[in-house]
Amino acid sequence: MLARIITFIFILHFVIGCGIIPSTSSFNTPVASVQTISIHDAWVRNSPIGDNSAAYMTITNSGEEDTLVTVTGDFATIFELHTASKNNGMTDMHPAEGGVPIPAQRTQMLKPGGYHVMIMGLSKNLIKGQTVQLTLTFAHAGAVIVPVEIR
Amino acid sequence: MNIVRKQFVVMVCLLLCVFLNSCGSYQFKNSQFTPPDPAYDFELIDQNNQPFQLRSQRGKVVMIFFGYTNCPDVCPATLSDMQILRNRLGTLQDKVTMLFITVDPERDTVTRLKQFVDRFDSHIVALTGDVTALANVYKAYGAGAQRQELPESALKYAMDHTSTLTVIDKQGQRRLLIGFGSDLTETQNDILALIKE
Repeated sequence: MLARIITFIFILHFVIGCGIIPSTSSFNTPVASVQTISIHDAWVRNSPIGDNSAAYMTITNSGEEDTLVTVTGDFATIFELHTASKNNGMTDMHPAEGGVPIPAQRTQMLKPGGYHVMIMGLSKNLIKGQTVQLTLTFAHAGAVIVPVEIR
Repeated sequence: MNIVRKQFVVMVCLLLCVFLNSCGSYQFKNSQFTPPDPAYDFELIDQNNQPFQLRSQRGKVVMIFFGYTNCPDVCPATLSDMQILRNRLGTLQDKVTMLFITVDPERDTVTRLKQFVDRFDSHIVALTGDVTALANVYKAYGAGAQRQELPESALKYAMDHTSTLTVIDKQGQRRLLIGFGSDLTETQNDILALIKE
C-alpha cells in the first residue's frame, strides 16, 4: 500500500512539475530508400501558389559517407538546398555549398532552422494533408523519389 | 499509532511536499531581461493599413518576431509556432498580442503581409512602416536586419535577422527572449505566468 502511494506521489510530482509530458514520435518505417540510404518523416510546409515553402526530412545512412547533391520536383520553379545557422540569436540562411553531407552510419536531419530544401515559386497550392513528390539525388546512392506529406 | 493512520500521515506529508514544490514562485524557462527594461514604443502600419502603436497594448502580453514573407524556413516555422501557441491559450488568447515586424519592407507590402499572416492566424499583427521608423525598431530590439546578397541563389537576397522572439509584459517591460526552436510548452507556461502577473 505504502509503495503504491509513493509511486502515485512520484508520478503526480512528475506530471505537475513537468507540465505536459512531451510526445515521443515513434520511429516509423521509411517513406523511401535507395541503397544504404533511407528517408523518414518527409514533409513540406503548406503554402499558396506563387509563394515559397521548405521541405524537411530525416535521412539515415547505414553505409559509407554520401552527399545529398540536388533535390527537384514538379510543383515549383526552384528547389535549392539551404542551411540556416544561428550566431548570437541571428539567423543567417545561405545555399548549402556542395550539398548536404550524409555521414557514414549516421542520421542527418533536414529541419526548420537547419538544413532544408528551399522551394520557390510554387506552381500549385500546397494543401495540408496532400502529398507531393521530390526527387533526391545522392552523390553515391543515386536518385530516389520521395513522397512528401504537406503539413 | 496504527498502520493505517501512519500511512495516512505519510501520504499527507508527501502531498504537502508536492504542493510546496510545485506552487513556489514560477521559474521562467526562457532567458529573462534582468532587470526588465521599458520596451521601446513605436508606431507602424499593420496589414490592414491601420496605424499600430505598441503603447496601445498595455495590459496585454506582447510577443514580437522579426522576419520577412519570402523567408522560406525560419519565419514560417515561427509563425506556425505562434499559431499553435494562440490555439493553446484558448480563452486567454485575447491577453496576448503577437507581432510580426518585417525586415524586408521593400518586398513586404501591406497586401503581401496580410496574405502571409492569414496563412497562419489572421490575429497575428504584421507590421511595416517607413524606413526610419523601422530602423529605430530594429535597433531598439536588436533585430539586426541585414541584407545578404545571394547571387548563387534564386532568392537573390536573404535578410539576416534575429530569430529570437521578444516578450513584453503587461506593464510594457521587456521580460523574455525566446530562441528559435524553443520548447513550445515551456514558452506557453512562461506566457501564462506573465498573463497571471
